[in-house]
Amino acid sequence: MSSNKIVLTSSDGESFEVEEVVARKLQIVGHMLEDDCVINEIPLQNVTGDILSMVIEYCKTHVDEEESEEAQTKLKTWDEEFMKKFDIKTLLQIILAANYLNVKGLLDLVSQTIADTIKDYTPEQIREVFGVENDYTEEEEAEVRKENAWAFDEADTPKP
Amino acid sequence: MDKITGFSDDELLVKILSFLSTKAAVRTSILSKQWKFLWRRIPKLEFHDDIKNYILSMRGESRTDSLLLEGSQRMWRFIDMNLPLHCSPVIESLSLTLYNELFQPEDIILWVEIAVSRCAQELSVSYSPYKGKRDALLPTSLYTCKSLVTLKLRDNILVDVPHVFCLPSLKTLHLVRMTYADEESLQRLLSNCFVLEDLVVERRVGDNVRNVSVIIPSLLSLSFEILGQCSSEGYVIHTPSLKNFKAKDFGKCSTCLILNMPKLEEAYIATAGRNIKKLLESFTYVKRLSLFILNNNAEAFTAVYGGDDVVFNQLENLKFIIRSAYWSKLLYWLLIASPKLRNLEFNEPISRGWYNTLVFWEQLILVFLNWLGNHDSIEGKALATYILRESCQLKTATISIGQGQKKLEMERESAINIWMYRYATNKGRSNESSDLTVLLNSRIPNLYVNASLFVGSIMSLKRPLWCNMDKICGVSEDELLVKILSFLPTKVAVSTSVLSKQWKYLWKRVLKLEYDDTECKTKSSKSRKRFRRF
Repeated sequence: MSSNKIVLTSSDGESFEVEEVVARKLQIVGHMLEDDCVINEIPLQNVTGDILSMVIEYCKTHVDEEESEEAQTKLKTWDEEFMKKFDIKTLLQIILAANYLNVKGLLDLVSQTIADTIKDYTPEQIREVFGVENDYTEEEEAEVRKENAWAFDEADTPKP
Repeated sequence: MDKITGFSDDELLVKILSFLSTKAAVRTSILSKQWKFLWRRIPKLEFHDDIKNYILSMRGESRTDSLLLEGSQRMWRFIDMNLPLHCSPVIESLSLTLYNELFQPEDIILWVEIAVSRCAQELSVSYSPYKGKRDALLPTSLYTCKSLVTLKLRDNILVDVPHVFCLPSLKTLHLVRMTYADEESLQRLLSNCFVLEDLVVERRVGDNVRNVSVIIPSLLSLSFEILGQCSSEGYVIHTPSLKNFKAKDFGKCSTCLILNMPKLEEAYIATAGRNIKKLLESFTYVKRLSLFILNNNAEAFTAVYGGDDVVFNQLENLKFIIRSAYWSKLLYWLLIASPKLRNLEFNEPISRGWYNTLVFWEQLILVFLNWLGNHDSIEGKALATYILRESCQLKTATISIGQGQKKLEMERESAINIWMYRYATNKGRSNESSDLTVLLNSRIPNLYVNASLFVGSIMSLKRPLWCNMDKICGVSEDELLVKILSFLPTKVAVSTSVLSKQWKYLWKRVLKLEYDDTECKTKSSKSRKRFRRF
């Protein structure tokens, strides 16, 4: 069964032929295959081709996760290099795709990368990245800052 | 893809927030009303008091810094108000680092209880209030927490383990400088965690414990520390699955029993040495051993090593660090008892200045040697020379004698069976040639002196040493000499032309030529002219 090929089609009509073991890393596909074994072409409505190709690249690399320390270190290095390729906007698209396609490892990896990226952002920068509209009045915002004063005591002073 | 609609899904945002520090996650509360309480759903919480408080508490100084105090107060208020309201269904991890007497033992009980009631998997409490305050107790519910996988406790905590307790998932347990309610508490805890893999026990003075038995079949990693003043009578360690072992034993225990660990890969042992040999006999399966011996006594000096069947069959890496200790017999014993030893790192920062009887041994199969010896230690220098001579497969040796100022490296190109010594010194010292001679006299065939690392002292190099080199090399084959010269800066190579007629044009056969102008810039124009003509 493992040599079976499966075609994944993105929302913009791009097709990717991958081995079944790779496709099964996308749990959404895994579930479909369990429901009906004869499918060999799967349309994925919420993912564009360029993002899907990244997800597949990740799944191919992680297809056999070995236990050995050496293999783990190698994978970790690969993950780091892989994540370096993307800007914050692409990362957000990948996290949405990983969430929709249900790829646990990638979801964690991208969440970590996004967190590392935004941890030093100003509130304004984070709002811009996530498209958040500030619906606080000035007084309300000041009140929240006061309530959570512990978290803001360092942020107000520039870091060394 | 529309970012805004995509991220109307709060769960995904909480996922990202949970990879931030708690502080950074809480700071997102001011982004918008949607974000105000998102952080309350993150499963991992960490609250760390300013480390400066810890330093003050260690020094026993009172806290006069109002900024520090305000920081701790803000943290106390925040935890007190928000932890009970935290709405993550599971608090996977709660980490509290509290260095201030503002945090009362009652607070800790309450906060830990909240985490336990939310199926905590990881709990870490470090409590060091300002001098002489009460130790914090932990709630009894903690000792029946079925979800708990990791428990790390540090400093002023009183461990009082109930008679009936159950920690069925506990895999990691760190007990650093605890006080135990009674002798039985620690023992009960250690003998009833059946899946424990990682254990750290650091004892402290007056912790109410005399004997410790670590008999845990599942244990993979053990770190064990006993200080000199501990009222310890002894310990038993029986951990057949152990892979990593770390022990700092400066106590005065009379009975220590360590049963052999057949799966041991790495061991670090620091000891003030009573019977080191007996101690090491429990580690015959180890692959990598670091041994730190401090101020051992005359008993160790007179101890008899060798003459029995102890063999370290797996030992490949040995790091041997000593300070004011008698050691050469021990090292000798270890070397002959380790037939697979490939890598030896030796470090004697402070010498006892004694010349201990040296013993000769069979051929060694060391491949890497790193020797950091003391300049005053005749014993060390002699032993280094022996090791160089007896190690027939040595590829890289780095030898430093004296406070890292002299460095001697040796490489072996196995194909042509040629040894090369690299001898580097920052400043020309009067005894450098004698050190060199010690090593050169070690009867190694086809000796090359690679003087390239003399660079620091090359200008002050005196003719006698050059002559000495000529003599020691005893090589008339020009090719070999050219090879030596090729490791020298061109300028120095040229200067060898004054040695003898044989040497006069040797430098011209050097393949690499470098004319470095930078040096000349600082000198007179006269020398620059000379340079150009050249």
